[in-house]
Amino acid sequence: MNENFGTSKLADRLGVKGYPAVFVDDILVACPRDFGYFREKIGLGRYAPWQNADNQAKFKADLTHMIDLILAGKKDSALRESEATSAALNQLLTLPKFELMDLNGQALTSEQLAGRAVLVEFWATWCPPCRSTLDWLGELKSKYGDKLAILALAVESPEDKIHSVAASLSPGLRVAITDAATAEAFGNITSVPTMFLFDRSGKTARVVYGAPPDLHAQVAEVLESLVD
Amino acid sequence: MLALPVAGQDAASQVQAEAERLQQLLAKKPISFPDNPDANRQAGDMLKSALKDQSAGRLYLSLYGIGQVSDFIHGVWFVMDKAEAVKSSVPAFEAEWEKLSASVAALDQQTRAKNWSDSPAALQALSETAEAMTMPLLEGGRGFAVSTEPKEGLFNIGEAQGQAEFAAFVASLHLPLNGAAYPLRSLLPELAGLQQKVNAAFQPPRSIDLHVQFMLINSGLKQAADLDASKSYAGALCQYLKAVHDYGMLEAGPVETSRQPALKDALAQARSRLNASGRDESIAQLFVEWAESSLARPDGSAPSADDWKSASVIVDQVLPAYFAADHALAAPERTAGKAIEITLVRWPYT
Repeated sequence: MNENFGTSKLADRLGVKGYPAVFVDDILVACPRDFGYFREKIGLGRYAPWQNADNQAKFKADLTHMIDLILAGKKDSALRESEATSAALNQLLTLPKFELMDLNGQALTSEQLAGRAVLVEFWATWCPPCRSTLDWLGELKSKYGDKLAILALAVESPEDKIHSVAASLSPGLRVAITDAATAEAFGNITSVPTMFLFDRSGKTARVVYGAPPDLHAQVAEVLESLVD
Repeated sequence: MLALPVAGQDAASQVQAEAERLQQLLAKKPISFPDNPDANRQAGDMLKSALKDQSAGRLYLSLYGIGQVSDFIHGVWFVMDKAEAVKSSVPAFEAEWEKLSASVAALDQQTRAKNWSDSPAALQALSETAEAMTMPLLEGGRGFAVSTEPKEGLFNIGEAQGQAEFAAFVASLHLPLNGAAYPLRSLLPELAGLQQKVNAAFQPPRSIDLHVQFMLINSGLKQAADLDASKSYAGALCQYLKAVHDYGMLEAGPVETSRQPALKDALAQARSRLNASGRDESIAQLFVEWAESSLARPDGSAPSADDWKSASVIVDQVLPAYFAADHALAAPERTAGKAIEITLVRWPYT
């Protein structure tokens, strides 16, 4: 159904101030920021520019995914994904400040990463796609070396299992257990895997939720522009 | 300010007087629009076209043109008049909004009181469509003002005034019904069918290359559905046929030179058929007038390829869709199972 801008109760309830916005039932799937529209910065949205076949295809895939989740009775998952996307996009224009301790007992802070391209992967021990992504991150570290900092931040996982997984990973990865402040700083991470890429000035270059089939290609393309 | 027609005037004179009134207002207060430095000349040209259509007997098309101009110039005038006073002040915007809303509500009430049973359906369609636009424009203008800058909402609420005045003007016209009334009804099945076709067609590369055309079709379908939902069936039929035309323009090929004489004959036959039907066919006549106007350039120049295409789409697709609407389609069957609702929040007219 269609609702007019200025009269949509759904948009009011969820704080969407412009158009277009797309909801499945009462779950927000996309808003003006995603399309780089309505006073948003063109080019920054997930589907911007809209007049691009890949972006239209991505929107259709995301919308279909959300519909499938709800029809499968997984409304809670749909809501979590929507909130995660919204929160991340709301807050993550740049690498946020954080202070953690890595598994080797060394301080791991955002300040240490200044001037380098940064990849942050949020993962969990109970998440199979996360494991294969972590293995691949080791390959990226070998390829880019010091030009790319890679952080693997574990969430909601038993500490002993985190150490066990970390022991099998490339030693070039900085592995740490996420604290609540850091998770919040990255937009309340509520789903894994979630990957953030930042350029050398700290600006967000890409956020990837889940492990889409073209994850490697997506990330490789972005890294080519971030790492000389 | 709306000038109601003088009693005893016939509709053609009333339409001419309204176009000339707007011309005079435009001469006294030329519109100045930063986004379009040529806006004043364009509005003037549209009024000249409306007068030419009126003098050629294309009354409904002339009215349609006046409605377009009324919307635009009232929007620009309101910005010109109020931008300085409103600037960045939300309370100042709200005060202007309240005043204008009251004026629009009064006009809407006057329009809705009209009994259309003795009027051509095309008049009802034009009036209903304009009247239905007033509230979305008012609310959308307010949305812009709140979400961006107060002055950003002025154009749309000015447009609402223009639409309300036009709707009231059309409702005041003295044009008797010619023949039996057209049997108006809900067009939901037809609208759903066309929307499905449009959705299926929205695939790259056309979804990229013809983005503006898709916006036009979808906004027409939305307007038709809104009108249908409020039982404004004349307006719904007119907007449905407009969407059929716009979709047809997307799909149709060019009109070969060898087909042009036959197309002109077909158009003339269509006019004869409508005139002789014994029933009010004014909505179809509006589209025939549109096709005739496209092929009869006032300066004698040859019609463009798009003019020919538009005329052919009207003959080949719009008029058949109009006659097909005589017979109600069955409502689409709903498939059993879980249902979800997808909501698109959008600007109403893009």
